[in-house]
Amino acid sequence: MNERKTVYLAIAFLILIIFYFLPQPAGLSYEGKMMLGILVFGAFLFISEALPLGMAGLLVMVIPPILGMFSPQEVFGFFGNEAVFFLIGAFMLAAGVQKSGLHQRIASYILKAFGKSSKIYILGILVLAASLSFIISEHAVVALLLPIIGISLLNVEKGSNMGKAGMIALTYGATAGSVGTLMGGARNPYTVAYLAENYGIHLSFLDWLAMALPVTLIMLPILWMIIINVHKPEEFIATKIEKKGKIENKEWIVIGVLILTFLILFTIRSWGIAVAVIIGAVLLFVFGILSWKDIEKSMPWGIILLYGGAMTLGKGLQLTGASQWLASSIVGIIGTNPYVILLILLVITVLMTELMSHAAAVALMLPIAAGMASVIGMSVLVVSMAVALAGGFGYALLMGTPGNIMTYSTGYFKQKDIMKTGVLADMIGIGVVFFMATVLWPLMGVV
Amino acid sequence: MRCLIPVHQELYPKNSLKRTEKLCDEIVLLYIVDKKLMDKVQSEASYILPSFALQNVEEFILNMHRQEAEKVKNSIRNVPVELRFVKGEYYESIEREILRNSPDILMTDSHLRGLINLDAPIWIDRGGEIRECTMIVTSLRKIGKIKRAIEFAKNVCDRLSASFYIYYPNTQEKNILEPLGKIVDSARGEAVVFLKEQMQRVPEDKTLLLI
Repeated sequence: MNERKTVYLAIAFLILIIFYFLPQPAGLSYEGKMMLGILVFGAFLFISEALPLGMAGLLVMVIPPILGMFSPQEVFGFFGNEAVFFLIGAFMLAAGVQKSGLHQRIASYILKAFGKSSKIYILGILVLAASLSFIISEHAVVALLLPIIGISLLNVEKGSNMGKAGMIALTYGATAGSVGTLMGGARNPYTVAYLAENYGIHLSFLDWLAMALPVTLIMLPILWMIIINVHKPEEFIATKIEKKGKIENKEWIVIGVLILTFLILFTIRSWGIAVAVIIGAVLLFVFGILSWKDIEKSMPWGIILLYGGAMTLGKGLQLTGASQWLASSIVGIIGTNPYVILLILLVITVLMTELMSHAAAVALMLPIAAGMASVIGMSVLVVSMAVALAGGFGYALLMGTPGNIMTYSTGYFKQKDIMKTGVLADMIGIGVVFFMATVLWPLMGVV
Repeated sequence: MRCLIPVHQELYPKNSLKRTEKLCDEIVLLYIVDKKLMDKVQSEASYILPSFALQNVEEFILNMHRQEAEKVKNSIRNVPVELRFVKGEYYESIEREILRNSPDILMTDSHLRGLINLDAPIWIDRGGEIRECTMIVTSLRKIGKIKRAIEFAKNVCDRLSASFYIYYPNTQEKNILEPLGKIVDSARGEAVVFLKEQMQRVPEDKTLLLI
């Protein structure tokens, strides 16, 4: 751990100490006050990256028992949720796709189909990355497609508009796709679990899809227009991607398992969200696509451990009444206009997600947003979903998402290039989610 | 003249590269892949990605940069180029290369504060043809150093077929400078030359030579 990070860690603990000695605000218990302290402590750790996110998540989990706010059984019990097992199963399924090479075949089909002109090719990259993000986490999608897109752009000069547009489309496509299904990012199942645990709102895989997929479908053409208008791509000849032969048995098996998994997710609501993906993962194991070693390697424990911290924050703020207190205080300042509140929440969430991981931003914002919704009588589901979807953006800054950094590191674009498209994309994204929450979801009967 | 040209993905010295044929006898092309950025990629990737996805990300990115470095090298014609490909911090890498190679001049397009501390003359190229250049002398202290700097600047300007002038705003002891070059009343031309410690604010559009 370097000196800077040690200082950040010390500052984080100083925040907790300050909260400990702060006078008790009216209407808030000691536990509530300290839970707010842990919220700020967590936010500081997530932004400063003083500790890896998973470690920060663990730390957030152990502080409430140390301060005597919750028993260890209660805190670690927050972790025991189907969303955790959904995440584990989804990572295994994703590993199966990668191991079989199915993603490469999908990439070669889509890129070939969209290879008519440079502008259409950019759309192809967006569609490809978004499609894979429906079943694989967005960051993994960027890493997997980076060599494929990189090779297809080999003839393109660094600094050319085609290079900029191609690489930006890769990360934007993955980001836009990641909100569409529960598998795209850990924040999605976290939101489902948060709503179920704290408000008794149970969302199925299909419910999420119905509410969130339109955001992806609306955002993709918008992102395409932004990219090709800001970085007008020159015509180019794509380097031909190595042609794959016939579909291999292992690929058929993965396709079959995915179809079965989605069928269960779509049709058997009573099984929740985790059972189907675990069955799928077991089948991949039984058919020899994945070995136990592969499964061990495919587990990003940081994300799973972060989940524990997120649940502790969410549940802790709710149980101690801190989220209600905070929400009432904020409403007291900004008023009770639901549209204004929603817009402010979306803007803050997007700003936060530009500065920290999507999952961390949603973990911090969800308890506040849901609390505010219940204080002013808005639909908790609508507000929570809106915040969860906005928490999946992060188009403008390199640190907005690991995909942005990975594509930037290839040298095809500069920071200012992604800023140009990203600020616009973030603003339009906020507008799209706002439209969904205020117009489309109410029309769909979501309350 | 042995030129050191650092190339970085955020700082691509397009103008300097164009100038090499006139200015340089040999070139050390220092292609720097930002270590902090690569570490960030690696840490983000290793945290979030399963190992299947992780394994080749860094290698692939480095390979892309190697190919780019070769492209930059091949774009320079008629001057021998030694390519150095390093993963490191921008200034540190340049500093190390200056120690290792003792270049006569460092060529770049970007005016960065940190460059001043480097132990080599620095050419900050704004592009375009250079017909005249002016050395601005603000004080005659360290006259020996000034004389050597003027010799060096004259050599650079000669190579660019540009006329060389000296601008010394003080009235005292002008005669000391007169044998070294033509004294003018104001800075002329597309390039200005400063001793690093005497550097003043310069117009954005002028090429700079800092000695």
